[in-house]
Amino acid sequence: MLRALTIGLLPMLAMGVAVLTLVAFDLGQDPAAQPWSELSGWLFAALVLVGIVGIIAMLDARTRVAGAFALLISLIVNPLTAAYLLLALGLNL
Amino acid sequence: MTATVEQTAGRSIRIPLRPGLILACAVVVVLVSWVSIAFRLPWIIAAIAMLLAVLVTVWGTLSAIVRRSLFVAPLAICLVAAGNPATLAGLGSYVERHAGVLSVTLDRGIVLWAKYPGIAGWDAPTDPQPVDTIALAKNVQRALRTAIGSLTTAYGWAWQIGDGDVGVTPIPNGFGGNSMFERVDAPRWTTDAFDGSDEQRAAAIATAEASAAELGLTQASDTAGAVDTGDGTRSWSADSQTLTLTIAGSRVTLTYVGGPFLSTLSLPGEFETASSGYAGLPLPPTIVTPDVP
Repeated sequence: MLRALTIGLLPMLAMGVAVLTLVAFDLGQDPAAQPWSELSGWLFAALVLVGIVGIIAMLDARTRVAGAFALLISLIVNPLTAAYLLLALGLNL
Repeated sequence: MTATVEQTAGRSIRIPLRPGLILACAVVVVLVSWVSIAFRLPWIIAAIAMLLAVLVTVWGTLSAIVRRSLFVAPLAICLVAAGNPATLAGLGSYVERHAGVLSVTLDRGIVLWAKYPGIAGWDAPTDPQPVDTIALAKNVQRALRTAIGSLTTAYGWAWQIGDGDVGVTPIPNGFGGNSMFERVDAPRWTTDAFDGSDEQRAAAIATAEASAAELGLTQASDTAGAVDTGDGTRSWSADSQTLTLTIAGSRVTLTYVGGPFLSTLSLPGEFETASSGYAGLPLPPTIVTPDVP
């Protein structure tokens, strides 16, 4: 059951948390977006947790792909890496 | 191998669990999601794609467990996790906020619309000449202050200055960046001290006309009502500039707006060079409404 949950839910959960973290950090710079700025810290903590769960999931062969995906997403789709990626690609205004 | 689901009538339906088939379905769902977000198709298509992404996730999980698929079925799940409409919309809005509108063409690769030098919805002249907008803003300020000063001296009017951008500001191109054109705005001067007399009315009109003449604005037109006899608005305009006098009851308002003017910061021929990079490309939908005077 835990394996099934890890295989099915972890990738979608990782992606969802990662995108929400990006949005929260983005909108958090706007003083009017109060709830987002309060949530951004928690979401970032959740993203770190997803990365750790990903590492643990990689230890089992059947959940390895889901774990690797979660770890990669938490490493790539976070506010810091995303800002560096935009800069490196010359896309930041 | 297939999974068997028992139905209430006693019959059973078989769900095919071949990982390759699930992966193929995941690719189709990702493509549909991408098209629905990139081309801003009706939300119902994105909603259907999202539902299919969830179904593929459940289907892939079943395959991974029942068929012990170690790679292909989990990969399908990861694909729809990264490429479902909700994820793509979130990532797309993030990129749009930071890099403006992007489009992909076969011959030019990624097109950065934030660097578009023109303004969406406004046809720039073929050979625009740079205008010294800083000097123009100073002239406008001087002309308006002369008018305000003379009316204040003559009738003791007290003036309020309105909110809004004042001075020289770049005009957004509509795609997340600024165009090479600027606008000039003067403060909105308002007084409620007008007594309605013909003398004050004539003085206000004559003073505004003198300021307009000082700026070279000679084409006068009554855009609403008739300021000579009652409430109304008169504008003096020329060369993308407009000075407006509005009389409404005891309120007299003077405003000025000018533009779009090609920035003097641009080098000769720079606008033409920058525009040529976008020649022949259809304009994408705007994400900001450009405030063209």
